[in-house]
Amino acid sequence: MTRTVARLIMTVATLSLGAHRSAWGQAMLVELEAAEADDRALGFAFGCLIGAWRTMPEHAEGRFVLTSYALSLGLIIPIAAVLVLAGAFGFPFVDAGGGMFGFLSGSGTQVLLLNAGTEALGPALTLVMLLLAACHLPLAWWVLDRDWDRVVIALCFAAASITTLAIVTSCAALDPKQMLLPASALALETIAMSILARWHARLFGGDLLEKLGPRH
Amino acid sequence: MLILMEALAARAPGWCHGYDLMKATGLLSGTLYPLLMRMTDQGLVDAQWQAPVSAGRPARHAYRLTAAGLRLAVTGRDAGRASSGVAFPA
Repeated sequence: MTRTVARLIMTVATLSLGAHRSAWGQAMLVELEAAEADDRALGFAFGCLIGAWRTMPEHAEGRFVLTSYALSLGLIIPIAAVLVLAGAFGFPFVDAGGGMFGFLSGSGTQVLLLNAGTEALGPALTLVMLLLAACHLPLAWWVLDRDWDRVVIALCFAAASITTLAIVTSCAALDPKQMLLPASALALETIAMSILARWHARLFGGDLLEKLGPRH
Repeated sequence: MLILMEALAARAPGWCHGYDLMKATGLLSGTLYPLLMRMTDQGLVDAQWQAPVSAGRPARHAYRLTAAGLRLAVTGRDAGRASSGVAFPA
């Protein structure tokens, strides 16, 4: 069991070192056998992992990986969480007095902005909000996986969701300006993805640059 | 880094393996390997794959100080002795 965990950790360490340090990853992997003979495999592997992570900011591929994780965990996942809360909050068809705290504590007041003729739209609007939030989870994974084709699909889906919400809220006589905030978040994500994808293309090859357009 | 250089200098011009260096210096793998990588990049350490000593064993990565690394190790050792105020015989 320890041997398997140590080898697993070593695999992550080797991958974290990137292509230009792959020989060092192999060197560490071979030394793991010596550590195993001394019953220090786990400590050795864990140290190698920490060492590999410490070297990541020193090379371009490592900086790219760290930035990808920062973008996924620091931007995309928090936006998904906010969208889920907003959907549960009744956005965009419930006017909430007392704000988020009032909603969570049950002390706030919620006023339904839909009238008798449009209140049937409520569940559908919530569903679209939750779909918008849900599409951010695979989006975060595909960014880490550098699968830019699927990233584009997820962003298109998010854009379609926001457009749908804007049209339906307008038809329901709600204020469509409410959609400016999620639209701005999506624009921010799109810009960040575009920069990351171009960076990835510069690091690993030019095919992607052709797909992204002439300006790079 | 000085500990590592001293350990490598003590074995110069011979080659050392990573795990043996860990045991000799007391450094953890998370400290040793980034140091070796940096020193190799700076031209202070040579690294090479060595053929296995017995059949069925994998090749191992071995390290030794370059001439520049050896000079720096000697300079560092002398500076350490001078700063500690210990007198050494000529």
